[in-house]
Amino acid sequence: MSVITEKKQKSSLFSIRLDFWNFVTIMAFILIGFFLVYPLFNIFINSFWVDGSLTFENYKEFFSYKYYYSALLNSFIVSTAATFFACCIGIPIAYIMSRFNIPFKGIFNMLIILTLLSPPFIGAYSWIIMLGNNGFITNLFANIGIDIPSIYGLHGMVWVFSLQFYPHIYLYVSGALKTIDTSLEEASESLGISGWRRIRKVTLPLIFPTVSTGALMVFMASFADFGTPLLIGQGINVLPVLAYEQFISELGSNPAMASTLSMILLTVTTLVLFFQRHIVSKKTYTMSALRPPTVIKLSPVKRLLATLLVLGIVTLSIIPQATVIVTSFIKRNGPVFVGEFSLDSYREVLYKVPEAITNTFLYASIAIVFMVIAGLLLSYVVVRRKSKLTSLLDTLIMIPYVVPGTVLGISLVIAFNEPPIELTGTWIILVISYIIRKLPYTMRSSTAILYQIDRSVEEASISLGVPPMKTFFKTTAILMIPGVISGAILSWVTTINELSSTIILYYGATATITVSIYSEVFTANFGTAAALASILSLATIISLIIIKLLSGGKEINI
Amino acid sequence: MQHIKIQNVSKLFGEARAIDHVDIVIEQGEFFTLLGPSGCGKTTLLRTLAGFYQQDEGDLYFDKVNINRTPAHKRNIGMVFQNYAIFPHMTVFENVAYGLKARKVKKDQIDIRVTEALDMVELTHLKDRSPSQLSGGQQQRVALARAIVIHPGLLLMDEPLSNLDAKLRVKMREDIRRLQKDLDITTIYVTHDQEEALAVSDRIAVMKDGKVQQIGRPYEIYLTPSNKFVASFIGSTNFLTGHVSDGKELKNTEIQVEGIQLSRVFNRDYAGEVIYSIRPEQVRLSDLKHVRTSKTITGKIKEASFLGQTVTYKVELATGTVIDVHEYSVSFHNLRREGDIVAVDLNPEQSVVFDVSGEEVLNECDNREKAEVLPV
Ligand SMILES: Nc1ncnc2c1ncn2[C@@H]1O[C@H](COP(=O)(O)OP(=O)(O)OP(=O)(O)O)[C@@H](O)[C@H]1O
Ligand SMILES: [Mg+2]
Repeated sequence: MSVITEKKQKSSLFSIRLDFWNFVTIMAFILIGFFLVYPLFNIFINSFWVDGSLTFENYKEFFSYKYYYSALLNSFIVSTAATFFACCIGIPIAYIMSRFNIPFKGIFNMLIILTLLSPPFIGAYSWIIMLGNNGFITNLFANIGIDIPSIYGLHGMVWVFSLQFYPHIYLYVSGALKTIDTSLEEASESLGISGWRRIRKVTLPLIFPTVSTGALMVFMASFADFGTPLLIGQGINVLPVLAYEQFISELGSNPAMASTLSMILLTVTTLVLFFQRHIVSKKTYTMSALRPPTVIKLSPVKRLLATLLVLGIVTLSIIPQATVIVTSFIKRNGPVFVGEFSLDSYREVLYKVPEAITNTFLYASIAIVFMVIAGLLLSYVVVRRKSKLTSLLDTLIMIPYVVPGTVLGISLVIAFNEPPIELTGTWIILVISYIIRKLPYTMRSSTAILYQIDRSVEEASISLGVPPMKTFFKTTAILMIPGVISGAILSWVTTINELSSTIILYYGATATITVSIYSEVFTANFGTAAALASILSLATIISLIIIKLLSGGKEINI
Repeated sequence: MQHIKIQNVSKLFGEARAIDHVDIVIEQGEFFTLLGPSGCGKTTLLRTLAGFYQQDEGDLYFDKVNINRTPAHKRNIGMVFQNYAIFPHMTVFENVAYGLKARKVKKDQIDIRVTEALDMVELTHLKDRSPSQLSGGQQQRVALARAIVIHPGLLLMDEPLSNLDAKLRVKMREDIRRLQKDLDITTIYVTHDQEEALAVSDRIAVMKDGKVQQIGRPYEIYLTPSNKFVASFIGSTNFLTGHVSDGKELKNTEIQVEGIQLSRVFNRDYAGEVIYSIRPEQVRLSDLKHVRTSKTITGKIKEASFLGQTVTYKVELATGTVIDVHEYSVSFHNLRREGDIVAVDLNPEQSVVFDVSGEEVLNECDNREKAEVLPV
């Protein structure tokens, strides 16, 4: 008897602290279980469920109709090709930017990040303005008798994705190049391996793991993207669009096929993730640059060429943004643009879809509050209270990286479509989806800053007489704020640009800017679409600048 | 100002015992040092005292009160960390005031006490600076002021000087020592720098593998190490293999070392192999021409390094064993050159003789009585 009480007292020593953080952990498990695991599990079950019995019918159907499986094939071809080209663009740009003395690096860097953050379908849409059947470049060339291929089709998607997502490669590779110790490269020079051969034999293998992580991001983004294929697919179906169409047409009936398609999407992304982890696991080198590489001064001619190359790519990838912004200020007469400056498009936006703007910023702001709190507490649990349980939590939080927005949207609707918890059609379900999908950004940057905060700061405070919980809020929490906030702003930026789950979860009154752009484009109201897209771009740019200021000019991790 | 008792304390990480049945009593106002190689459990013991680890066994008493179950923030301990652990988001003043605010001290009292503490560490002029604008030494002073301002019952310092350069380290350790004595704070100090430990401590506990090897005043530890580990860890020493064939005669036990017979007073009956430990500065060299007795061995200077105050030699004995010898460089005449042949006196009176395992001291410790008359 006395032994038992003794034990009890012992474990109650840190009870206050244990209780709070355990409470956070438990709450996190409940919420993630409820809003992520349960819905996904639900569509998993759904995909095997036809008319109340267990069956593989849906999968059989998928693999026997060309209509279905060709979508998978198309998705695969587009994503693979886009990943390849993104590497071809991203690696050289990263190499030039980090190793050579080219001018305007800061601006180039900012523009590349901006490219990545703007929604891909806006890119697609402005490429239509330029290279569509009636695009101004198409017309320009047609006038002088040259027929250039239209943007519509598989190659168009590859084009848009490559230009949109190469920044992933660029960002990862730039990071990796900074951590290569110059002595490795010098050593190979002294062994007589130089120039291109050195890059191929030493530099590339060293950055391979990072390139593959960037490539994974490109593949995932292209594979899951929904807006671009919808706009320029024109009869060529890809999986997310197919899932969306099935879902919309089946709504109210048995959503089995949509679930099946979602499962297939999820399976592919998960397999690709494991494949990437597998090839990297054999080739990971931990490098800490004792002597980070110095910037090489190029001869004027080479410098000019390198600058032009970067400038060309950056221009090409930022053109869609520029086009959209210019378009938004051009006067129109009905659907026809006349070449005059005007604010008509903005007036029309304010008149037609003012709620879309308030909705977007309102939902994103509600989501950011939750993400800041969750990022603060959960990263602490994951980093400072490491256990099997908390690393499982970490994994669960990162799942949305592999869940395409369409899939999450569909799964949430199916899970919360009827009482007792009926959330479909409310703004709450949008906010939930945003939090789940974008929390990983906040988590990553919160964890990163937490690793840099000295543990003993907290211990110093405790030993000075401040209880553990109060200590956390007086020391570590305050020190984490910059990291948490800059991560949360990144989450915010990607939230306002989100389309793929919003389009499934929104409902009339809860439409957001992206959804409105999408419907405006479809009804050929290019002016209002452009004005809305410009508002998004402006918000994105401002947010980026804030992050940059918060992080004291350090690199932005996406 | 507290009296600290650590009774039979163990702390396990998984299966491994980071500290193993440690018993230490620390007197009020004592400057007590934990000294030992990396990984021996110094930090673990300190953190257990601070309440950041819960011991798996044993009891802790502050002034006879058992504090096993007192949470860290109620132990009234001042702690100085190796990496300073200054609050980066507060000014120097706010850092030092932090613990007083937590104790709900009145505002005007806080001002007085913080200023006083900053005065002690000579930082008053920097009180409005942010920590990022301070040098390492200044940050460590802030940490010290922050720890002493709360009038802690016990001050814990975990290698507080290891990030400072050598000169500053010496000045800081003198300052710490002076402050500690002025304020009369019971202090436990962790270091793996033996010179630092010898210079500042009232008493030292030498640790290894989580166990306390010896507790004593600096000179006791140096002159009468209680086992082979302590002898080798504090200062440097020569270990020579010796042999005792007949240990019955305690007063005059004959040890066979390097081919000669040396005699030592033993504290017990012992026969067999022994470890003969003699510090390099206790070995006496003399010119072969002058001295040659049955108690000396012939040796040849293999290497000589002139270090200013001392000269260190590697001397190869007739048996082939090489030993270290230190001599003061008093004049040109006593400098020896490589190749010189010398008579080596192994000075048995100053030697320590261990049993073959190195765990037990066999010679009678006459130094111990002498130690009592030395000043503290
Ligand atoms: N949190 C921990 N978990 C597991 N093992 C630990 C932990 N902390 C310390 N140890 C182990 O306990 C032993 C004692 O470690 P401790 O940090 O107390 O050594 P130390 O004497 O302070 O060493 P140093 O001089 O390097 O600081 C080591 O073997 C260490 O590996
Ligand atoms: Mg330590």
